[in-house]
Amino acid sequence: MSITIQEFDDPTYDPYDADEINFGNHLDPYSAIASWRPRGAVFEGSYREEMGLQTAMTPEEKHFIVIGTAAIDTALTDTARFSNAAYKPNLGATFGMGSISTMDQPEHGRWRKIFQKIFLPQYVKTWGETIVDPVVTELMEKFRPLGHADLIEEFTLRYPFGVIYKQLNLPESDIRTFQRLALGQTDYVHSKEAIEAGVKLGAYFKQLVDERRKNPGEDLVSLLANTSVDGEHLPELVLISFLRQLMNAAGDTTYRGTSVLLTALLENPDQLDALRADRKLIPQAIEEALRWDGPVVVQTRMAAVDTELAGVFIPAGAYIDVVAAAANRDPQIFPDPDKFNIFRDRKQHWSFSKGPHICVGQHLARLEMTRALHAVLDHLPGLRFDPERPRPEIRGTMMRVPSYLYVVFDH
Amino acid sequence: MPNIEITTRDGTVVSAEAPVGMKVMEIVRAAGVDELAAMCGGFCSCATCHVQVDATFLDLLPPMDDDENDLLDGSLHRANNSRLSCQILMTERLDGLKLTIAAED
Repeated sequence: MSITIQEFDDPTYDPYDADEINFGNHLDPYSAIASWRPRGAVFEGSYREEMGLQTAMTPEEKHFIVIGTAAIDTALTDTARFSNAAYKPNLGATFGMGSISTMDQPEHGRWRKIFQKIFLPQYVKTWGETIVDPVVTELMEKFRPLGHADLIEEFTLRYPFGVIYKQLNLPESDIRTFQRLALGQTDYVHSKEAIEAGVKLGAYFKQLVDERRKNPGEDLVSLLANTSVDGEHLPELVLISFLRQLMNAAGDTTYRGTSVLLTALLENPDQLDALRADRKLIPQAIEEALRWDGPVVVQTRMAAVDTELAGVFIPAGAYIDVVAAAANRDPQIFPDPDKFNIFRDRKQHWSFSKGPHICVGQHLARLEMTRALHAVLDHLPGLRFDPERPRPEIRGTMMRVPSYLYVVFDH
Repeated sequence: MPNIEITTRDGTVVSAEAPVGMKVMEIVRAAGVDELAAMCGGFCSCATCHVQVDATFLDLLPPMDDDENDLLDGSLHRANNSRLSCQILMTERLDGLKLTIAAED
């Protein structure tokens, strides 16, 4: 059976240009966030507007910003008062209303458990050798003989997506269009293209699911398409929405997280040396990079009822920008919070969020970052910034990443 | 009110009042033992409220479901007496429950 993937109606549309307008380009959003602390743990306002970004697929409701750590925890865990329906106008419109990120308990939990089981650490770790290492090695072999690279363009921007294509077992010829559609889905500022991308990616996944039900393989689509709940398949809306969200949730975030990790280590060569001498430090280096500058700065919730948070009245229907990155830089929890320090006392960070929507792919993300870092240490000896090229700058207001990371190494 | 006895990772013993009907995870956190991270907030969606329960209380606990069992399998520190404390509701019979916070994964 032949499966077809449809391009955007406007083939000149470039979803790769959409990052800055959607997610902003602040070099240091943390100083702005810190400057808000005198306004209280919770105050009226919109994170995007305070940061000077245009609004994107969010209705004109009242907005509140949450930066106090205790209030952040409450907003993320008290799901009776703080609803994920906030994601229906954007994630729901493109990934589909079956996205579990748009749902609340108990519906959310019912589907979440099925996806959660697939991404348990004991299952995910078997993908290290079978899926992640081959993708990482193939990419690295392309630039390793040259002695220099842009680790973003040639490595971190590519390997997490390569892992997904391998997991989905996508036909090679569909990958270019697939990636354009997947990225376009979160171009909320260009809502026409974002919705078009969701429709076309959904049509593609429907064909793929049908085919893998007839001819199941070992891939993730076959696994999910043939998973049954109480004797029935997962509802199509839930399944297709999950697959649509996967590129964004598993690809984009891991690309950002790995890019920040490598940048931070190169900026702190003593800490990189410590890792070279003792690979057992890798887990704490990864957790510290996630804390120090995690990929996702803000999560959104909606007040389900008239309520109060940290003494501030919030009316039902208001949007709540939960700045989890503020908790990651809370000086009461992380002394000298702006410093990247892999040796700091280990405490849980907020970069995979908290509450029932905590990142279902967190174990895969850690595995991918671990394999990527091992490969860098194994194959790129003497890794350092390229003295002839500009140093990287981690940027972004909603989502963080450097746009280049020029390095040289011994070969 | 019933009590429980919590042993932290450094061996400190903390006694806590334990209202019947409250999740043991919430009782531990309310006692100020925040090394029990309970990241998912008690929805059986992570394994960061992992505790090891004194063997004499094991039979008094509610049975373990598949989701809890799978999550515990992901821990490097699973023992015969391991449970997720968000899945244990406090009862009168559990008065005096002794538990130890499991090592961090």
